[in-house]
Amino acid sequence: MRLSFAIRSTRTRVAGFMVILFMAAFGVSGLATWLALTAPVEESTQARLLRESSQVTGLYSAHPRSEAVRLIATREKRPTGYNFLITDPAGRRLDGDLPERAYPDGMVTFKWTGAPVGVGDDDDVRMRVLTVRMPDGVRISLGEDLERSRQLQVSFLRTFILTSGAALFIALAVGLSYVTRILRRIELIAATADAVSAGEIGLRAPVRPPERRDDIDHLAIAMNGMLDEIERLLVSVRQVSDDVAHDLRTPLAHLRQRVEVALAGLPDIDAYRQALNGAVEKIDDVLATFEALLRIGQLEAGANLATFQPVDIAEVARAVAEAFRPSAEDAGHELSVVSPRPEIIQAERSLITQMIANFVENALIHTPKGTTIELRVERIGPVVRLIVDDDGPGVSPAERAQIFRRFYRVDRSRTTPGSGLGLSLAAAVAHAHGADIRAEDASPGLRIVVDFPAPAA
Amino acid sequence: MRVLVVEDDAETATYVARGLKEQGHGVEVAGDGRDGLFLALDQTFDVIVMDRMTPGMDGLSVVKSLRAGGVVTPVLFLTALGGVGDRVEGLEAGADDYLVKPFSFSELNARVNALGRRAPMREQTSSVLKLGALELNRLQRSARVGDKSLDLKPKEFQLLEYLMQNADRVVTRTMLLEHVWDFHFDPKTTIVETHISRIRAKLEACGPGAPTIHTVRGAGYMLDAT
Repeated sequence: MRLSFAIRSTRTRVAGFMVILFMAAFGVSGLATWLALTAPVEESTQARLLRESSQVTGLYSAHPRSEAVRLIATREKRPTGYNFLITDPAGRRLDGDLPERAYPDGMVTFKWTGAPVGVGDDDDVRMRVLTVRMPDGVRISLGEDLERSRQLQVSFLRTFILTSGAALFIALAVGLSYVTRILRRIELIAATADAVSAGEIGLRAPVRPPERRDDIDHLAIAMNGMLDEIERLLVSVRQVSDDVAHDLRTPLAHLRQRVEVALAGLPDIDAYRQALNGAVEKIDDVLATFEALLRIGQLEAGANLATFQPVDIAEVARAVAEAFRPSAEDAGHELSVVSPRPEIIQAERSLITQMIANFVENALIHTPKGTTIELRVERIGPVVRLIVDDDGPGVSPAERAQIFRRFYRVDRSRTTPGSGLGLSLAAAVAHAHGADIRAEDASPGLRIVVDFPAPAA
Repeated sequence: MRVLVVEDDAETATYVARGLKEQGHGVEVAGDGRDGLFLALDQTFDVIVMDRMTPGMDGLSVVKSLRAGGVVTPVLFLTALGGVGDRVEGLEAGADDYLVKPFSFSELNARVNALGRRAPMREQTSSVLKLGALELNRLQRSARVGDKSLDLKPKEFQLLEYLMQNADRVVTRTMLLEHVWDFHFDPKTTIVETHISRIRAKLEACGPGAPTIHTVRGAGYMLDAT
């Protein structure tokens, strides 16, 4: 309800705004055109009249009277000529089509009611008449019909008002229907958001096909992206609580059994001490799992992202290998690093260290004696790639896709130590760094590939 | 040593205070951040054990105020938050070390001892560390026992250096992981154990007179002259 009211009021506001805007624009442009059109016309008619008058009087002075009158009459009877009147000193008409009367000297505007001879088409005639008295008493009057320019102005005004009215109407109609369409689409997006808030988390706002997309579609796409992210986070939170419930219950049950056995009575103080030590170990296991889960959760929720700094991942790989090499050698594994150049990525160093350490430990724990583990760091186009290879028994293609999942354990390693969280923590670290992580076949053995975005050169 | 414990959880405070007293330290306990700050400003302590989330005034602010007030007493943060950013934030505020709850008392004790000794050690600018017949030249990164030179890998040298700086004190596995390898997590593999046993073998090869690295059950390692 509130939404459709908002649309109505938005539409009203847009319409009002458009009308005001159009009126202002037309008013300003009309006034400007009017001024531009009338002022120069007024000025130039007077100037032309004066110029013509001086030509005509010049003509008169240069010729004998009868010759001059004939010349002037010929001149003014051309289509571009003026109305005129030439009278002798007694005031009689010598030639001309202006109504006969005694025009005062200089420029005067006259108005006739009823069409006078030879002037204008209408009943009312307004004329500007310029009269010059020659030295011999002859008067030459030139007249210009003012109604013609007035009619021009009136017809301009009429056309102007008609066209601007039509333009306003068309603009309002088109604009309002456009605004209505846009508002309807916004209403749809808002309705989607409401429905998602109400619990339909899978719902998304409609988006038009790529070639027809506009700003509203971008808004919808952005909102859909946000909803995807929220849904992903929700699922991940739910997943964490499921994992916690499922995988912490077993070690806690074991702990409880140990304590109960101890409470039931043990033969001597050493046995009690042993039972308590065992209990503390179990608790530490639970805490370690808990810690790893929390950290994965934090990483997936996008925490810690602000502390990224340039890190040479090749150097980190060497440091991790150096740390693990003695124990790897003792366990009969070979551990080598191939990293010809420093490769800088934006990262949190301690997380990258832990990620690589988890890969190495995973390989150390799950491969038999004599296995070679190789770390490789190289730049391949737009990515800095970390590769962890082992030539152990490998992982079947079906299981390869699963090894980054929480608590997932490849069948044959159910009995080896480990929480089943090492690789999923590594994957969470990779994802928090915008890196792509995958498991491949190293034929033989398992290859883990992590592609970090390389910093812009 | 005199230790100030700022902790609002009474059970943890009692546990820590009793343990430290058994180790022969003088202990004061404050139940909230403000009291802790007043005590720390009023009296002199060798180490402050500070819970990060205390009522009244949180641990970060207390440490910042202390440092702003010119108190340089080493501070060990206790926290239930284990995130990477949290550790960095704590150290940036002026804390010297960081311990995530729940912790074992031996871990806390080892760190308190290391912190308490830290100030004088910092002043020891000498480039040569000596313990019994063992001599570490920190500039040349070389070591020898008596007149026999000891061939150490870089990490082995760092590890031995750290043990010598904390000679006669227990150093935990986690402390070694943090200081020698900069690892802020717990590897499942026996990194520390392997390195220790290699150094031990090298020390023993030098014959009698070399210091011994003892394993302290359930706590860590200790280097002493005998």
